[in-house]
Amino acid sequence: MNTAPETGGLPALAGRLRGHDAEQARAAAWEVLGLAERLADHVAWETGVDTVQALATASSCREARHALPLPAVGAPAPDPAPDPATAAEVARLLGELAARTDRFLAPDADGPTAAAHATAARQNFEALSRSWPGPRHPARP
Amino acid sequence: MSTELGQLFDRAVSHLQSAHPHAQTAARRADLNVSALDLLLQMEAYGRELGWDEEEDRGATVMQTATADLRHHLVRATEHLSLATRLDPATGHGAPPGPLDHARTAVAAARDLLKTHRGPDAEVLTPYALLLARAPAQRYLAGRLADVAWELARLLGETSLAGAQPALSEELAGARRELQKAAVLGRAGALGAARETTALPAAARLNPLPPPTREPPCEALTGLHNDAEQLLRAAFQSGRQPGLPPPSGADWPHIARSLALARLLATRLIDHLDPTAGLTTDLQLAARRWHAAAQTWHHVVDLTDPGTHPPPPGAGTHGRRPGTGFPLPSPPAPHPARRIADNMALRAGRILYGPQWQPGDTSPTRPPRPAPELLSDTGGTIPVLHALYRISAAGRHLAAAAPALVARSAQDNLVTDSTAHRPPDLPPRLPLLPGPPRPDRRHLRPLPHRRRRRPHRVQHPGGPSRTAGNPRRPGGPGRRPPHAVRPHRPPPHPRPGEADHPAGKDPPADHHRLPGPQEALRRGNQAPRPAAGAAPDSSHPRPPASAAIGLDTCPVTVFGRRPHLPTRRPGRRPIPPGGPTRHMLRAGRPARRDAAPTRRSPAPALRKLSAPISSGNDGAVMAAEKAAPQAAYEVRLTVPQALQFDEALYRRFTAVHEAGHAVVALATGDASVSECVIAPTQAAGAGRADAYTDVRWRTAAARHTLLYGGLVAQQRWLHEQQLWSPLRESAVQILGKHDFEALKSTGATAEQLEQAHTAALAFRDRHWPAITAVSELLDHKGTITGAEVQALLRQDPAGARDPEPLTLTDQQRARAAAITAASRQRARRGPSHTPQSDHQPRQPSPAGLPSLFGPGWRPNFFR
Repeated sequence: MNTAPETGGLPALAGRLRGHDAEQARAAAWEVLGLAERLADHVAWETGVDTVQALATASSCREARHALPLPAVGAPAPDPAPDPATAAEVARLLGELAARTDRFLAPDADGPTAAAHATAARQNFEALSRSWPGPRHPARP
Repeated sequence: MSTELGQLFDRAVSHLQSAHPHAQTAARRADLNVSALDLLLQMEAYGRELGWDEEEDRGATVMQTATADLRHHLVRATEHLSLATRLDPATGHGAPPGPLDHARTAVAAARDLLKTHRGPDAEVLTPYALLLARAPAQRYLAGRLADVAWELARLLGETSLAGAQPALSEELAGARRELQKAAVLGRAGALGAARETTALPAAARLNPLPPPTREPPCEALTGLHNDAEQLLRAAFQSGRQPGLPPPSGADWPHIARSLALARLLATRLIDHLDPTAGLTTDLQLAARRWHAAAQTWHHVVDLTDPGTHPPPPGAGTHGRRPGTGFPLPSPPAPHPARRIADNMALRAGRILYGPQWQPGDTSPTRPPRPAPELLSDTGGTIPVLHALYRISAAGRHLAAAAPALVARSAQDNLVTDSTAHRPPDLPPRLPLLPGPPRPDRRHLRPLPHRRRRRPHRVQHPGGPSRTAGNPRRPGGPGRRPPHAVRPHRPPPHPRPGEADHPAGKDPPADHHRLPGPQEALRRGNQAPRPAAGAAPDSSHPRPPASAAIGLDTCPVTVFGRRPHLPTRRPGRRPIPPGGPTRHMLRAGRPARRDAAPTRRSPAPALRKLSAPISSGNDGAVMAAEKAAPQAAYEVRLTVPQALQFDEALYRRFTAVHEAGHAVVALATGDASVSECVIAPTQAAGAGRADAYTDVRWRTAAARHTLLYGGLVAQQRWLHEQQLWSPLRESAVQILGKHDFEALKSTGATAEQLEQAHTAALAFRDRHWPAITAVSELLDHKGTITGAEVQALLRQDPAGARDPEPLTLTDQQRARAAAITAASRQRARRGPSHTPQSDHQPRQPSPAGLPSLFGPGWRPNFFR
């Protein structure tokens, strides 16, 4: 996973997620779920992490993202540094996303199922971020 | 667990053994004979369905001799027993079924079990069907039928001695003798049988159902067995052209993650039950590799996914009408393998953590079930290991098929926002990434991929060309995804082993260096790149890059196929001696066994894992792996599949063959033609036509030459129509096997055959307009007389030397002249053809053969 120094990636993403521009918000939701999936996959085999739970978390994120439309704006978000603080921030963004799933869904998406997947992703990610003590190797600057 | 093949034969034998007391009772003798006859008819059906033709295969090989003898004696025994039932007809109706009826039911059930591995049109559904087509498995079947025959012979022997009338006793004794011979010869032919075939199960149905909430552990183990069989079948059928569609880009990460989860849970289960089992290291490595395969899809989106939600098409003429509208594009349903993998993980977790477990629910408050209780419910460690082995075995087959399946599903549908999927050897003039930051609205770009060179690939006539776009794409043919960016010049691509980006420089924001699925296909066994920013972790061995596609294949072999000719056995279908006689030159009716060879990739990693726990049903899988090294996922092409012609084109193709025979025969001057016929067979559909040319010859040289006429005519026709391909050439050779057999039966020397071939080429090229004219007329009418062929040949400047008078009417002659003129015109317009061009084939049109006959072709039939 790329651990380049974060240049406001997550805060910018959070701003787009909460913004009034629906298209930007949907693209941000897509990116948040993608980030969560990558982060869960990245930490799956770390010491102290329940690998089964991490895999289930990544799967939930991907399932939830399937309910979103393909982003038409924005650029791919840089991968954040894999540390517990980032995981907690991503979990918080997932919570915001799960709370307002209807805003991000595609017109023909199954709303309840998508909301269930988003909620599961949030719950799993919160549990994952709580149990993860952090990387064993410091991230390269 | 489904019933196995060996169990059914064992059941039949035991029922026969239990019938001996009834053989002593004269009152039940008639019913027993009738039941024995029914059983024999069932046994005889095996030989018929397995192709143990007593006349065809006799003497070819030891195996074929044995099976032919077995069937021969079974038929003779049936005849004796049939006479016996007429001499002593059964009178009782509604009698309860006896042991022989149960034996017959078991033998019939075994037949049904074998049939489940093929579809209604005998298409192969599981890899076991390929195993059953091989000699060791058929030896096993011959041996088991011999067992049944032996027991039945003993029974009939006792019946014949039970005070029957002399004629009846004689017939029963005759049946016993024949059955004893069948048993002895069948057992002799069963030497070297694949004993693992006894564990063959019925083919699993592809309807994965979620496991019930409160599934007992023993039933969960059975469910794991069925899941593994279903996954095996799904992987197998997805790799075959007429089978399931391959998993989409949405299915692969889900499948890979679920299979990783299943292996991880299997590791925990084994550790929980028996920490000394020593299997967990390999299983955990397998789980990591499947997980790595799922991670490769992080930045890849499949535009045909249900989750991409393509925008609805704009309103057109029809949509403007009130109350009407365009239906939304229907997304493809998730692949069955996805649900099967989910069920596997769910069952493995519920066996370990209890029936309420769900993925993600592994908090410390839910401990595993106590090991003694678990062992009590599952019947010990062995059934658990047995079921877990099935998971690995099925995953191995899926992993072996994955590269080909990804290549099939990733035609033009995958887009990515990552640079990691750039082919390393892409020419510099085709850059892919921008130097400056990309514009916002250009988010994703098409995932580049290269088609592997696959000589077996036959482009379907009239199919979509690459330049025309993918019709399955939501935007329709020729439309790029709205978020796709135009290619720009990329940064230098690092060579394998180099760091992801230059030291001291931060990578660009979109520079994610993840091995993609296509990249993993290309890289093979190269070591993967280390994750940027992460120090090497020696405690976690990093899987090789091949693991990006599947865990259990190291290395993954790319499948190839080459056309080949079937082995022609000498002495089959001999032409009766006695000089020149009438001979029907047949064409068409391709056989299903005309197929290309197959190959499969080995997977040593799983062999090591599976060796300690291989038993029972696993024997069938291992036998399939061991005895069918050419089997697994390769498609066996029939001739129609190789040709890829529709019905009309195949009919023309056949007509050219017969026209070649007829015209070359007349052109030799030493042969005459009575008629050419093309008739559709009962099996409707493309590639099904039966045709023959009725011809007489006066010299052996003329016979040799005319036998080559059909073959060389088809070869030139394929070249002229730009339809030639190596596979079609192979099909031409296969379709001409009757001609080759006839040539072989003449006893001609190689030099004579070479002269005949040269002469046939010369006649073909000299009278090519006549051949095309005859083929058009034959295609149109279905039957053409020798006189009509002669007439068309007379239109040719080369002329015919046959002195027979012209019998056509003026109108027919005028039409024949028109056809000949049109054929000459086409011959002049098309590329020049020489006999040497047979050895320098032209490739088909790269534009996807939109018009099979060239841009100016129009039908020109007799009307």
